[in-house]
Amino acid sequence: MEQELSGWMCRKCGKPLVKEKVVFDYLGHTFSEALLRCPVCGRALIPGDLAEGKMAEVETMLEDK
Amino acid sequence: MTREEVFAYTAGCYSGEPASCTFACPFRVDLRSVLKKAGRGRWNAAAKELSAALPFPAVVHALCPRPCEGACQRRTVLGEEPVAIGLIEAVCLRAGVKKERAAYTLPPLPQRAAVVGAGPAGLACALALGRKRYAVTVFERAEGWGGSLRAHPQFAAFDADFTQRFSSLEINFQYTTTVASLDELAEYDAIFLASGADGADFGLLAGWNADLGSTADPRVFLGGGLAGFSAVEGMAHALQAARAMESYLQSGNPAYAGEDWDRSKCTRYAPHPDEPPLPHVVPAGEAYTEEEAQAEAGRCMQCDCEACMGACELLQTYKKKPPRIAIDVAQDGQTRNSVSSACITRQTWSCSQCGRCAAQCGEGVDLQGLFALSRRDRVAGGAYPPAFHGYRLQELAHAAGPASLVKPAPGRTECRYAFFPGCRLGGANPAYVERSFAVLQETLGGAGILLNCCGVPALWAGEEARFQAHLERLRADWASIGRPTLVYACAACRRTLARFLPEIPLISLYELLAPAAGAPPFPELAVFDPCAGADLGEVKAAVRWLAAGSGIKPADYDSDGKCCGFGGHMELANPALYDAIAAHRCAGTEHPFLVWCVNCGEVFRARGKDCVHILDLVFGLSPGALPTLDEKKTNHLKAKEALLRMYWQEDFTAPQNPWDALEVALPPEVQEKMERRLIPLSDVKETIWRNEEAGEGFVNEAGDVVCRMAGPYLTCWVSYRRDGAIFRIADVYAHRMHIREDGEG
Repeated sequence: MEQELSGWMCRKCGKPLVKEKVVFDYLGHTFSEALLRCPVCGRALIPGDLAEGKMAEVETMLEDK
Repeated sequence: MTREEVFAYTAGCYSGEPASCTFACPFRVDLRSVLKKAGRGRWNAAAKELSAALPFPAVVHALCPRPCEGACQRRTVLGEEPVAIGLIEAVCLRAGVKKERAAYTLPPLPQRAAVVGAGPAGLACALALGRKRYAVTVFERAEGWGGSLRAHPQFAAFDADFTQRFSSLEINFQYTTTVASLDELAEYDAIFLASGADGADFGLLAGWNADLGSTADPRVFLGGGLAGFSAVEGMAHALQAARAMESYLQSGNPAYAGEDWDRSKCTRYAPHPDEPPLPHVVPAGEAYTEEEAQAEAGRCMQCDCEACMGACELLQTYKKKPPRIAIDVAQDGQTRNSVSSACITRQTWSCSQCGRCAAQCGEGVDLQGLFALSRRDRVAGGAYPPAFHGYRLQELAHAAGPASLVKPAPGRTECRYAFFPGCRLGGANPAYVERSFAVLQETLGGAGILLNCCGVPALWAGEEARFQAHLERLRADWASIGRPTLVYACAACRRTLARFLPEIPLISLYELLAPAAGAPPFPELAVFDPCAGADLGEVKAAVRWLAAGSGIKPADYDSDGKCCGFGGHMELANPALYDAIAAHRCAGTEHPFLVWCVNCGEVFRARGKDCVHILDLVFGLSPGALPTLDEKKTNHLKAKEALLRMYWQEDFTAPQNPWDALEVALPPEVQEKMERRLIPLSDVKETIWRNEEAGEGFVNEAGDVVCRMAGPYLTCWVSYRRDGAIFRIADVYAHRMHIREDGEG
């Protein structure tokens, strides 16, 4: 997935995405992960396998608390 | 939410408590445990348990009238012979205890206790105190022990039992000694008076505490025949009095030994619906052989009420009994942080709210209500996953907004009847609403219309304020068209309206329709009554009558109040349980289902089960493909548009969004995933449209675009490639987390 994503650009800013820390919050908990995001506007790209994999796992874990 | 409020829901539950036989037993013997051991042929272990609970096992065995057998649920519930506990007990006692327990591990205690009377009660008290190593002296006017039992034909056996039990204890027996005054016992720290029915009470029976045996003189306790007890009752009472005496000796207060042992609890019985009858084993000789006793002990049902657990997949999955659930809900409501061990969230949001648990319970335990309370509490405190009910609440807003309609009967300003199809019927097929309304115009001589949702999605979501506001709106709408009787189609609507708007008279649509002869799609159908309609006998009968009129033979099947899986909107909170329940129901009969709730029908059809709605039969409609989430929304609007045009000659144009016209190509597997996760295509189109308009999202060298739209309860992502005017969608996915894109934190 890393290689596949390497050619992504932000359509608004026209800049290639770089790997940077992205902060998430859910149900009062905060955590971060290094992901591709636009160096100008800061928008992050969440790939499908992350959303349906690790993120879904963390969501389930927090919902189970 | 208070603890009292929570525990009120499960107050009547006795799951996990001793069985009725044990409550009936004067000695509180755990008979479930004894009979389990006996059933496995573990005679010594069973004897050991009896020996620990009974002061003189042989004496009790010979004299006890066996109230345990009277309370045996084989007898009280199933009407069979009770388990022959007495005969089994004899086999256990015959086998005996392998090793008698030893008292020498305890150091002797300095306090001195006097027991007046060496009858069964006095001996039981002396035994209990002696085992604790108090210095016990027994005064007896006769020449030996036994009291009233000395004349009993089996006294030789009792004498052996007494001897055996006292063999390892140092008790000082003073025979042929009459205590004429308590002053003679001044040197003793505690005294137990058990000198028999004709013994002296020294004026202490007045003011005697029956539970503890205590009297007006704090160091004197009283029991046995002197207090009117039989030998067995007297022994059992003496054990309790010995505990009170010990409490008095240690703390000065006998009440600390108080135990809650409510004998009335021996009349609480579990239902045992599926228990097969087992004939009582009649002994070939006078007593049981071990084999006979083992077989009879196998008749013990190990009574413990689990009626609600047996009725519900959710309770079976989590394996928590009602009292435990209440503790978790209360704890969860009070701690609500990451270190809480209650872990009730998933279970709270997985309940189908069908109420079958409460219907099974004879003690008024209401877990449905408890989970509803937990949901309301969670939502009020802001500690809940909004995604669980987010989409269903949007549907509610649609039904109460653009799709709603309130009209009196055509050409009038009021009406006696109004059709309330609810938000699901028209969503499934607008013809259901249109055709039904046409029939009602004729049969009722005109009827108004109230298109709206009953509000149950807000109730299930725990959104109390929203639910109350919706009810107010329904009440006002209903009043505005002359307070008509509402003709409902959906059992969940009926349950909600009947419970929260009891002033509205209700009648089922299915009681107002006539069967239509036609070629039935299946000759035999199993009627699946919805959970909310389980107690609506007249509606169930009407549905069967309509089916029979259409040439359908109802198969031998009873859905028995079980939910199809749709109830409570658990689908996103617990997809695995939702699937398991739906699959379970589908496999419940080989026949196709006949449903009168569109939700049941959609759940079953989505799993490939053939299913016919009663309105398909009545109106000769053939069920097409299952409508998508968007089609359901559109269908509502179509029904409204058709009714307005036909009966009130009004035009209605459904509100349009700029993204509605967007042309997309959607692979079927993505469509299926969206349906399961409740992501409508309109949200996907809006995501694309907004990003295209603003030139946002991400693009790669191949021209693939990925963009997202953050909504109130989830962020929807779409990956697509533009092909001229068509947006070819590759994937749609979502997450519930929020991205802090400013990088804070």
